Amino acid sequence: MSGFYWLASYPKSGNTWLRLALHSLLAPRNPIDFRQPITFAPVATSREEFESALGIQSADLTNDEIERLRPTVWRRSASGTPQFRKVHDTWTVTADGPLFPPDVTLGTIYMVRDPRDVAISLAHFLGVTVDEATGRLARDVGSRATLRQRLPIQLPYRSGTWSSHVESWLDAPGRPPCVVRYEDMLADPHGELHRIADYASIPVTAETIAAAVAATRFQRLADAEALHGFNEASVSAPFFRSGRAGAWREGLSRVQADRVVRDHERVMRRAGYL
Amino acid sequence: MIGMASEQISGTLSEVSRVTARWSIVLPMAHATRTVDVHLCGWRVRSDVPLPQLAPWHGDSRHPDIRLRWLRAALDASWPPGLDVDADGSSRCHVPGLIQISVDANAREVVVTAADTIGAVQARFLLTTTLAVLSHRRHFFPLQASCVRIQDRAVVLAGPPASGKSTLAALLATGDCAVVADDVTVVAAGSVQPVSAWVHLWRDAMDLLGLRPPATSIRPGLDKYGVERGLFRTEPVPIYTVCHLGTTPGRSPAGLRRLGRLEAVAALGARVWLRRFVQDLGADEALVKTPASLVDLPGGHWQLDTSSLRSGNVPAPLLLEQLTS
Repeated sequence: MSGFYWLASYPKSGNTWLRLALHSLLAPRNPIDFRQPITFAPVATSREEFESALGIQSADLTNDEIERLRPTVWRRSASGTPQFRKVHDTWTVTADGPLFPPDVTLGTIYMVRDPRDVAISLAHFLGVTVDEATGRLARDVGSRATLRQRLPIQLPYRSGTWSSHVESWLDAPGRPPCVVRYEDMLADPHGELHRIADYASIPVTAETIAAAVAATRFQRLADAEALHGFNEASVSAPFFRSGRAGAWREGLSRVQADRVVRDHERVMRRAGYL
Repeated sequence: MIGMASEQISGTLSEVSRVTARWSIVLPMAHATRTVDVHLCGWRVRSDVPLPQLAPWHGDSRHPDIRLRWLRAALDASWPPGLDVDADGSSRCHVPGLIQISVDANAREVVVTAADTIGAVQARFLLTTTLAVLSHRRHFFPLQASCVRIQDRAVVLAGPPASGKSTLAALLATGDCAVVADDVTVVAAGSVQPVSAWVHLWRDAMDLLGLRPPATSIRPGLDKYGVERGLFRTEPVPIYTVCHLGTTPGRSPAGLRRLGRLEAVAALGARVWLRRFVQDLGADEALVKTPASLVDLPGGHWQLDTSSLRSGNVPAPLLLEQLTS
């Protein structure tokens, strides 16, 4: 069976944690080593994958041209065993059909996190104020500048708002996603990993699950980052910074928390955060 | 500049349809155009496609190696996007809305379809994808790299997209040094086959180099410019060193690090242009043989973390000394 599992989430919602846990499950003899690039589940906005699949350079294309060509990348690359990609794009339809074509989609594991905690994490990651971060949750934080002055390492993408991102994936056509709440993954990592493995037809045992959970404990990842660095971190803050659920209770003012709820109330209720 | 050899082509419908017949394309040529013979990687290319970045042919009186024809017509929407290679090695490339390019199996006939103009952005696809196709079919070796001629030695700057190849090439091309290739560096018999002294730089790189951007960018919406860096010469340049650009995982950038033999082979293999298509292009042996022949270079292979390029902190003279000493 060939095709893709999309590991999808709004930015700063635990996608990398999920990715490392699945890497540990699928390659238990290949331990996580931050001195090497993480090759499991490469990001879906990789320029190199785009150019390799299509045989053309991306640098001189407009954002719309790139978006229109991306479904072809997945169709050309969907061979062999199931593949995983890390995705921060919203689920959307391009001029040439769905960005993530259902015909090459094996499933979606969608990670969702309380947007009030996302706001704090995003503020640290981007080096902006919490007010700026809560504002970004309500607008598109993707990288689609109209006049490009430099070549970003990754392809431009649309994230949408936090609410539109969540709903775009939850309501996408095709196989319903396996929705994983960050908070549930923290509370019961063994149970959640079992559920994800079942969804993605990954053979597991109690031992391999336990090993994957142990390998991706927050403190272990934070210690590894402190020792070796992490090449997906920003310059603003450690990537594995807090790893808590509910940090917004101390990190957001009442006004800031109320703003997030006001902006995203309906979808927060749908995801069980209100 | 006008090339030495030029002619009025007698481009006919039959000629054009012969090249493109396998793709079921039969489109009328609007009118004949003035041709010019230009130099590309040692090949004499007779072209009615305007390619001002390429030098006029000043070589021998050989028959043109490659014929490049411009078919002024609407793009055919039935072509799939991207590059496609047929079993006989012929290929077609479709960049929707911009250009379509077909190359015959013998890599002698290139037909470019573009409705209105062939400007800087369309030329970029000719001098990247199509150049790589021609190279593979003619058993040259196209690397994803830019290249600078320094004291008659080639310093090849290889790397993935957005790793800073063009910026570093422009930075190093000062004094007697010159850019000889941008994004595609074609290698044959241990030497780089020069393409052009033009390099394409984004606004941040122009600022880093203290260059004033030309009046027009390569296309509206992109703050990117073509600039000429150094005096172009057509003679092949022996490769002295290959510098592999990228970002280094871990706590701190490693700066320049010499690569071991196995690392160099792996790094070269990853930088073969159109790697995914080489078997269909009939060049699969290149993947095995050519990188190995490129491993043992006088200046060796280096890895350079180019995150410093983004911060604008590049010790260019030191880098030049290390790469060429």
